Amino acid sequence: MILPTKHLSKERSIIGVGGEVLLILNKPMTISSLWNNIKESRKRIYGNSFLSFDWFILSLDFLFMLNLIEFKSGKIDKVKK
Amino acid sequence: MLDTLSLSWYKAKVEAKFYRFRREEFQSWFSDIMERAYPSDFHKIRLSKGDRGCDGYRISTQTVYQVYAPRKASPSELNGKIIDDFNKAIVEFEGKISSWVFVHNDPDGLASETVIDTLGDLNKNNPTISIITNSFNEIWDVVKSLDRTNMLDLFGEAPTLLDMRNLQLEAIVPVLKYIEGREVPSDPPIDPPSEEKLKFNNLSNDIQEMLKLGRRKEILVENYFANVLDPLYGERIAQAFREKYCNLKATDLTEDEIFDELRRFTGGDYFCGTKELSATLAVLSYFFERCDIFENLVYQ
Repeated sequence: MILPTKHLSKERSIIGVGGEVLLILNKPMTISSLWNNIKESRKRIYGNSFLSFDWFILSLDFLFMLNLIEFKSGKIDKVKK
Repeated sequence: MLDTLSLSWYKAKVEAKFYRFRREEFQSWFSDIMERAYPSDFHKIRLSKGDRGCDGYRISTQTVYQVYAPRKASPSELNGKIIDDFNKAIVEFEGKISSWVFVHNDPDGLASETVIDTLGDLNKNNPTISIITNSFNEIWDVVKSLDRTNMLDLFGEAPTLLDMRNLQLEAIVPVLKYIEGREVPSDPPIDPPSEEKLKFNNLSNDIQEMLKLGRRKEILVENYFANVLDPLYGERIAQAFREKYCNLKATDLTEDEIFDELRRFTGGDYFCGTKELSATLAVLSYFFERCDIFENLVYQ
């Protein structure tokens, strides 16, 4: 589920959704804002958003485990290097 | 008149039953086909011990049918059975036997000693009686001659080329839901599909044609998996097919028999509508092309 497979496209894999989150996260955002933004982005790019909320949360968990995002003062932001 | 897809579908079903059935089940199935093909002419003989060397009789041609589909038989047992049953038949049907047909379902054919010695000797010693064997090809010829009502009764509906051309997503969904429900694998294999995979797996021409026709519509399956809300749905279905194929491969079924079992796993005997039956071919083709079922070509 993290990586794409024969039956799971890259844009629906956890790593694919995580990549989209990083592209959208250009400033600290609440989870609701980030969720709305990624849905809008996917509608623009793929013509649909077909992304469930729990899958979106799994991608955030994945980015958090890789120390790419952090949760501070109620908002999500990229980890500053 | 049946088109090529329907014919291939029926032939695959006939072949699967022909090689799967044994003993009384095979005899009963054969008799059912013959009674439908030759109503009031072919008569099956009661299934019991002491059948007097005859399992079926066709009045117009004075043909005695002896059906033999044991689970296992050595050549000597087979030869003994042929001689014994023939001798019983010529006594029982004295003056009313012009042909004697030995019906068998051995996928490897009869042993040479059976053909040359046993049947050869019977032919030589009984010049007035035509002694022949019937196996799959002969039974398939009889099945092909049946009218649509009898085909439906025996084998159900079959998809047509028109069904396949008109196949839409609405028919794919119930087929996928039918086979849903396995755990997601931790590390699914990824191999490129092979152009020669069909031939490499020794699948019959009819099954190859069905898979090729199904391939035209597998984009519907791909689009469904790409857009369904649960991203892991495709992997779950794929894993169900992988596990089923592995279990079948571990038995002594032939590749065509494995395909028939997978066809049934996909709902080929469950669904009655021709649209859904066409969808089963699209689903099978989708997983075949993505190397979830059947063997992949080994490159040297």
